[in-house]
Amino acid sequence: MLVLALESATELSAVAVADRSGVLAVSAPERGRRHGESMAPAIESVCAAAGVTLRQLDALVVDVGPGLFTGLRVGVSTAKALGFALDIAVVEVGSLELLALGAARTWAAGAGVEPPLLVPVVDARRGQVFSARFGPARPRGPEHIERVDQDRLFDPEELAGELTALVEEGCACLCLGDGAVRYRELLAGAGAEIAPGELHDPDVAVLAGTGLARAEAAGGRPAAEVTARYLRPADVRINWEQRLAARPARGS
Amino acid sequence: MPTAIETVTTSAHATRDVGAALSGALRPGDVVLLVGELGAGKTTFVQGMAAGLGVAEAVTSPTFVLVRPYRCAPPGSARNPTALRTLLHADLYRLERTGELADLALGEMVEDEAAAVIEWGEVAGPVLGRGALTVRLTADDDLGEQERRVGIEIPEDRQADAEALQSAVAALDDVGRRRS
Ligand SMILES: Nc1ncnc2c1ncn2[C@@H]1O[C@H](COP(=O)(O)OP(=O)(O)OP(=O)(O)O)[C@@H](O)[C@H]1O
Ligand SMILES: [Mg+2]
Repeated sequence: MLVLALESATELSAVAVADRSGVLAVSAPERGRRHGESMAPAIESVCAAAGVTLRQLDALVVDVGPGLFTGLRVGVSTAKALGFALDIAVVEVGSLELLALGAARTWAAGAGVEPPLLVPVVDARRGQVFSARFGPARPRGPEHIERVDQDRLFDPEELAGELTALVEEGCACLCLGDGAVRYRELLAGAGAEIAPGELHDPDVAVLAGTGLARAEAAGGRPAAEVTARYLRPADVRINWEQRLAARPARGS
Repeated sequence: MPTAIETVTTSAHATRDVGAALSGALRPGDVVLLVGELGAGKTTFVQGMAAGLGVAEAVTSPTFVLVRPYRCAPPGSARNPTALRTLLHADLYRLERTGELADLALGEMVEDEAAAVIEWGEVAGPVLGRGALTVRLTADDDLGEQERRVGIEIPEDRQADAEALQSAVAALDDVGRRRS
């Protein structure tokens, strides 16, 4: 099983090729929102570095967000296009679970202490964040984590309020992600711990490893069914006719 | 509570002047939502904003594209006192679903030293998140044909900008006076 993983949900974008033995090649991570300009050449160079061709791939793995619209658009459409062209399945991994999976890797070492509740926080821009919660998997599963709350869009103060309540109940919370960095003071003020630096960026190697395991266990989805999770307010039809009928006609 | 500035303009020219005054208070990352009926003066207001930023191109209603970028005069120059390099003008009137807004990525585009001004902006409000400025333009029965009520709402964390704008608007001589 050989997979190509595409990460572009936040300002950091990267691609990786992996098989059962581990990651074969990773592109140098790029920062910025111009993912569109770097993804295709990055795919070419990791394939060359790993000594594989696109035709040999068995599955694609893509971070489907939530995150930056501009980045997600490129990552998801690239995965879909390659999925169609190569006729292989696409494994979707969420940006928030990916951050939690990265942090949970250290749990595998088994330090013995009760792991904290993982609270990935992704900067949604314009004063908002995406967040979810993950606890340790019981019984222990291959991914170490278990989702305890769905992905949601928050005002940072609202998230801080929920974390305060959790901390008061005696639940240790570890915040990670670019949103945790941006709202560090607010979240720390709520009693949450802020993760060390390396856990704030989505790790494309974790994405590839997770995708590979999921592809082997359950396959992936057909390219046509893959969508980005924008996680914004419901998509509603704008009824212009009705809006305008309600307005008095102007004679100018 | 956001600060609200209320005035009445007596001509399209005066509405442009208010738009120019508002543009002086803009910062990179700002989003201005324009609310008002057909013909209320939204595009006219944008023309004033563009003038205040030293945009050389003529601002018209974008017919096929939903968002048009206009290059401002050099930031900090006489023609553009702000730090903006680009004014993004969006008209959502051709949008069919609110979900399409995500694809416009306006919230991210303004991070590149830009500000966005959005006609029919009430449609975008919930999608664009917090901190937007709102401008309401209304042509009322109790107003003359050439008059428009203009209400500007500035977020509470922009008190200094709100005060500067208030005095700039008060200083305009064809604004705020009602024809009797
Ligand atoms: N005080 C005023 N302020 C603004 N426009 C005025 C005023 N008085 C008259 N007008 C006229 O009203 C019209 C406003 O047109 P404009 O295109 O700006 O409206 P709009 O709100 O953008 O409409 P649409 O919904 O079609 O985009 C112009 O023809 C303008 O000259
Ligand atoms: Mg218009």
